[in-house]
Amino acid sequence: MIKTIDYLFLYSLGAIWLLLLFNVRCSFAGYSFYLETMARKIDIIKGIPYYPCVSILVPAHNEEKVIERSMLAMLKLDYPRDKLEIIVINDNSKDQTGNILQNLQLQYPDRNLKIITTDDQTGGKGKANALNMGLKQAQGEYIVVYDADNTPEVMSLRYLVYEILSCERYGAVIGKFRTRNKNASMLTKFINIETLSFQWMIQGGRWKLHRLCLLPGTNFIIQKKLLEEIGGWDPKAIAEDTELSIRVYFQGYEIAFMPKAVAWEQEPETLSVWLKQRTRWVKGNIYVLNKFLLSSLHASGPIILDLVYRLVETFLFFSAIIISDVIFVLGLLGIDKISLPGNFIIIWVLAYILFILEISINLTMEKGELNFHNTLLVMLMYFTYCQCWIVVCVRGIYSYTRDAVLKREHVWYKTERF
Amino acid sequence: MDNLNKKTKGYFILSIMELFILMSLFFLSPALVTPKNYVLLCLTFFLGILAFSTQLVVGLLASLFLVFIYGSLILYKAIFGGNLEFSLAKDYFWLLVFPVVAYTFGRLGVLANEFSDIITDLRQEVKNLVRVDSLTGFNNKQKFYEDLYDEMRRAKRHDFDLAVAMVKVMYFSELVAMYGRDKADDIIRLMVKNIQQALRYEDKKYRLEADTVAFILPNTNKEGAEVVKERLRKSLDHITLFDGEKQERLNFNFKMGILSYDKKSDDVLAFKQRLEQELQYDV
Repeated sequence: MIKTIDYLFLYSLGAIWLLLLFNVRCSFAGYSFYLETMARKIDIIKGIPYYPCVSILVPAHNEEKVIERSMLAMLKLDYPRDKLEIIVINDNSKDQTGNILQNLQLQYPDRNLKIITTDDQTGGKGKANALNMGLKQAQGEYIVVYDADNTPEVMSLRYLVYEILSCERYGAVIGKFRTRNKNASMLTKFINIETLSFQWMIQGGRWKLHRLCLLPGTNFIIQKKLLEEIGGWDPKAIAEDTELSIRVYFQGYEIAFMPKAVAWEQEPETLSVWLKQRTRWVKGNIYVLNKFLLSSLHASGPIILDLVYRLVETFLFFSAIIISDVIFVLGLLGIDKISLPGNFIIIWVLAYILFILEISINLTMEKGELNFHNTLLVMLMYFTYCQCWIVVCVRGIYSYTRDAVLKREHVWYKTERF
Repeated sequence: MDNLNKKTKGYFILSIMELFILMSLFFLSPALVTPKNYVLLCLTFFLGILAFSTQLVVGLLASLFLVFIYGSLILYKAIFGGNLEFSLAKDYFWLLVFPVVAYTFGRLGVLANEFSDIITDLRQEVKNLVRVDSLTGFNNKQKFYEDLYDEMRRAKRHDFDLAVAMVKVMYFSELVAMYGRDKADDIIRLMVKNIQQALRYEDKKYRLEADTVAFILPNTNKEGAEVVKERLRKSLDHITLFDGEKQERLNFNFKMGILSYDKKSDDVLAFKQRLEQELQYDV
């Protein structure tokens, strides 16, 4: 006879199978997007119809370790100088960030480099707040955001401008970010594999399937007019990028992905920094779900799909994991056991093999990344790095709930630099 | 290159080994010989061929598809089909076989492509570097343009005379069709031998096309050029070809043009074009 526990088990099997199906579909779509991008003729030298004024916003809070090189990279961007404005928001920094920026201003007097300095009274309220301050000062027709650790490639701004001008529906265009310090530690190697896969499979795949992308928080261009229409960034949002993306879609615009606009960024080198950063992302995503779930009932378009997808994914995944874990423990303690015959280990074998294949496929799209060393890392990643995500999710949910219950303001955690 | 060679051999052996192991399994365990497994074996072969002949990523995508479909099928049978006798040795190993075969064959394909790229590059490089035609020992077209430019500059600067001659074997492709490539080559060789006797040592000789040769004749004025033309015509008029026992005397049609340099422009391409026009008047 089939018992309740059997139904629950079957449910978790089905849920995991569905998630596997989603990801297989995304892999194919991501590759198809890659082929499309490679086949496109993109002439960034002569193909840009006109050069709009662009304001680059760089929020910087205690960034003395990285800010100089990032600024130099931005100053080197290939774009008409009289059309480019760089605004750094030196947000309540307690280190040498301000001095470094001033020196740069003296060294490049002919460049349009503006510095907005805030203290603990006027600033220090997180990235969204800093960006809003920059937005007020910006003169450009388009806004580009780079994090203070970003070193964009020389031509990347041209790609972003080219793409956003190519279609009126594009409210924003995101570029691709890559890991500069991928060889620094085992963790950064994992992050490198993770970010590449995320961008090709999730961003590229979703763009191909549903014309949907989410702003990554850095290395993107957005219409200033649109930003002003929707009131800039939400200062309460911790994942201000995802939050903004959803409002861009609500406004009827699309966010496109241009993988040829590359910026290199620094990733956390130690587990504790990584945990804090990712916990912030999880909290930010819960905030976004919380904020838009009800209002989204009145909206339409692909963004609803994403919200529903996120919710379903989170719900399916967590319920499946928790249920199967509980069943495992019950079985171990001898309280209750699945009466279904058969060997269901297949779902885990399947999940593992599909994971390795999907990640490998994504790595082939980046020259030199699918090597023997990385293949071994992918095999290892499933049991190590990926499991850490469970910790991150639990931490994020716990921290968000605690803040909500105690009515505390979410504290902005700024990722430490190396 | 050494490393590439080693890798290619390694992946080749690995690919063969995989197929060997797979086939051995069927011989060692007759229980595996089922229609289902035969289909899966066929799919594995096709997957390997696909991964090798297209791209690694195409192979991986195909194996992703196969693994997902096959895995889902097993899962479905386990839940709804009442089929309980699944085991690693009998069923699950296909889930591993697909990706492993796709990866090794795909890698082998990548390495083969790398070799072919290297060869293409080298060929191009050799083409750019080589200045001598292997059959005649004459210089080739690139060298002709380089030398012609130098000689034109020199003639202009030091007020030397300069003439250039061109000889074209008519109906060369028909000749090749009639006598074969080897004999046509013999004819060219004989032609070259005769020409060398007719020209001075310091005259520069080039093979521009399969059927066309050209000569730069420094310090040769218009009258001198006419003399050369006559000598060339005589030497090329009769070519006797020895074919084993019998001696074959062949008559060929040649067109010959000769042009002396007027020292006005440095444009080698325009000069060559005028020389080609000269050929048309040689009726």
